[in-house]
Amino acid sequence: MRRSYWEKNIFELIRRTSTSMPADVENAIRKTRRLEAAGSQAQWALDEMLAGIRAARESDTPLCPDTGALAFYFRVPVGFDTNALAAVVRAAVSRATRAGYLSQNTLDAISGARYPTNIGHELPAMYFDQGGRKNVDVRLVMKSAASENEGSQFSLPCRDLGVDSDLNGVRACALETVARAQRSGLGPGVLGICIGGDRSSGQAHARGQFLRKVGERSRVRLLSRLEDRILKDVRKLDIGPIGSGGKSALLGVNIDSLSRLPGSYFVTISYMGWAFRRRGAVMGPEGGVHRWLY
Amino acid sequence: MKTVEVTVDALRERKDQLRTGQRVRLSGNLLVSHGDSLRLLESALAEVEGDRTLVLYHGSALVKGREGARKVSSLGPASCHRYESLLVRILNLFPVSMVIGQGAMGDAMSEACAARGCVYLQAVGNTGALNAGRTVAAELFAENGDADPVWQLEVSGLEAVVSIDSCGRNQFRRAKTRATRQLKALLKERF
Repeated sequence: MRRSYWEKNIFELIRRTSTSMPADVENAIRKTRRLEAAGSQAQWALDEMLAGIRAARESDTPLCPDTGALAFYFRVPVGFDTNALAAVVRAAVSRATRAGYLSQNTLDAISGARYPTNIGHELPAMYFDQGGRKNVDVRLVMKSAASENEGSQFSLPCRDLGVDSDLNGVRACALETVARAQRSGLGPGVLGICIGGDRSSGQAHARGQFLRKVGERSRVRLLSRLEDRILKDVRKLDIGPIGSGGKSALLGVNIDSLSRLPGSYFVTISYMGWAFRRRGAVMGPEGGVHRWLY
Repeated sequence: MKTVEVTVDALRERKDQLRTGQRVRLSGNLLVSHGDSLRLLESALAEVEGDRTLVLYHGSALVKGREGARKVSSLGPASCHRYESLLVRILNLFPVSMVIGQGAMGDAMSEACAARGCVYLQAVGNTGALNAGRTVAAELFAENGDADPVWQLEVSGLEAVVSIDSCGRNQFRRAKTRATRQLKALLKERF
């Protein structure tokens, strides 16, 4: 492993993620803009978002002053030195914070003291998956605190929603989450949904759905139909991008499932506001970039 | 609806004419603070003398450079609903004419706006770089320990939409009622 290559390119990954929205998200915003009436408040909000995306890219500055919590997803060859990789990530995050691509966003949970380099307890988050491959696939997702606050977990059947442990219940959970997120003004959002699993695996798997592109449909036909149905239903809620009305409260829904026990049926929903900062790269074991993802 | 140009200096005379749903392009000085640093703002405002027009931007700014050569690289609003009680408290203590934030505010804010003649505007979140380009100057207003500092920014053409007017009419309340009704109807359907 050539540490300097790795550090330089992980830094570049952070810079790109902070300043340049992925094309799939930007295109989804353009597409949803067509749903809104000309001159409406919803269309104005979407135009501001598109102008914001352009401005961040052109000025090479963070899309949002809240650069959020960083989650790195690595897929590495068997036997790869992940401790060294974690050290490289921490060095690159410190450098990106000093350079102004990341805000000082990491606090001690009890005292509220700030970590000036954003290196804290379990932050940035890193997930490693070893497998039979030659290269390293790295993806970075930045998620704001406000987006994280709007996520939810349901245990079906749910008396409050009046639904059973089935896909109709999942649909109700998704609609309830979007309706609740109306207050936050974060829309149009994207939902990552995990059906099944336990409380912790469900959270991780729901967040992992953000690695899929917006508009990329589930390979499971039934879940793909459910994704479409939720998108259509949300338009009828008349929430709009900033909560004051319109059809574009959601850009996409990504659903997947994990095995579960007979006695539990968790539906875990992770919410991502429109500032969906996600980038990735395929890198050689020495740290050189083979190609950028998204 | 047509966008209206408003300056902070003329805000006291203009704010009662602003109606919910109206788009505003604001120029002038505002104070940027959010979350826990609202407490810092509160103590700093207590020491401010004079009869200035206060505009509070509930959000955060990334500011680079030293005093005299400061540059804002990103400015964005933050969701307000979790801090509604703190914001209402500030409105009740100080002559704030306008609050700009992100997302909805509830009945407490509507009542405070009506009682204090304040307007609440919603800005589009995460447009940090765009708003940085609409910022003319930045200076430190207050700082203390680990809390985010409070910045005083001069902005030109900052865009937002009136969400609660000075009569307490709340655009979000109407939208929420509609969405709740629709949600009930959709939950009766099946997949």
